[in-house]
Amino acid sequence: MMRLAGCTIGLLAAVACARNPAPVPPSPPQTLQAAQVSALVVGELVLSIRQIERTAYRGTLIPQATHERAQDAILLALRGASAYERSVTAWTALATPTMPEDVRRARDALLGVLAQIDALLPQYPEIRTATTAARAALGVRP
Amino acid sequence: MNEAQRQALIQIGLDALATYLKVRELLLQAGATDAERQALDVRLKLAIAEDEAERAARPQRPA
Repeated sequence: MMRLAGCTIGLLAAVACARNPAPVPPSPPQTLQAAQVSALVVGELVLSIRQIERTAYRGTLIPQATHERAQDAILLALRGASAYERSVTAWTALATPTMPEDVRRARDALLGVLAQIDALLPQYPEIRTATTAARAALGVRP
Repeated sequence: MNEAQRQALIQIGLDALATYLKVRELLLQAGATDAERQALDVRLKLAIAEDEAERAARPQRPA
């Protein structure tokens, strides 16, 4: 039950940031359980970002050149989310209480790619909402 | 699409996202964490493969 409580807190933080810029702890998910939820939420959000961008492109709202740059960044985000998930899975196998450096590196790399996506598509609040929620799930204050 | 329609669509998207995350929370409470993460990993890999294929099929542009 304690494990589930940690999961719930992570998800609620992501939802809160998506809808209302309420304070969120600015630190990375510190526990394994929080990191597991973080990996799940971030992966889903990156897939959502991809879907939003593709829908906007197909609706001719995004020019071809911008789409290609955004697609490249989103591909990096997909790989980053996958790497973060793998690092959390490896942490699960280790079962150590402290966050391994691999998890921290994967998280930081993913945060960098989210910033790239924001910079490429600043005019799309739907994408900004999703990247903000992803950052919140990674423990970053908006 | 006018601005009001665009804003309405954005709001629908935000509501959908909040609902979706709430559903995720309920799934997690039901103990679906590991299975959900494994399924997500498969979906991420599929998306990566699809995007890599699209990227490879792009016409070459002069640098």
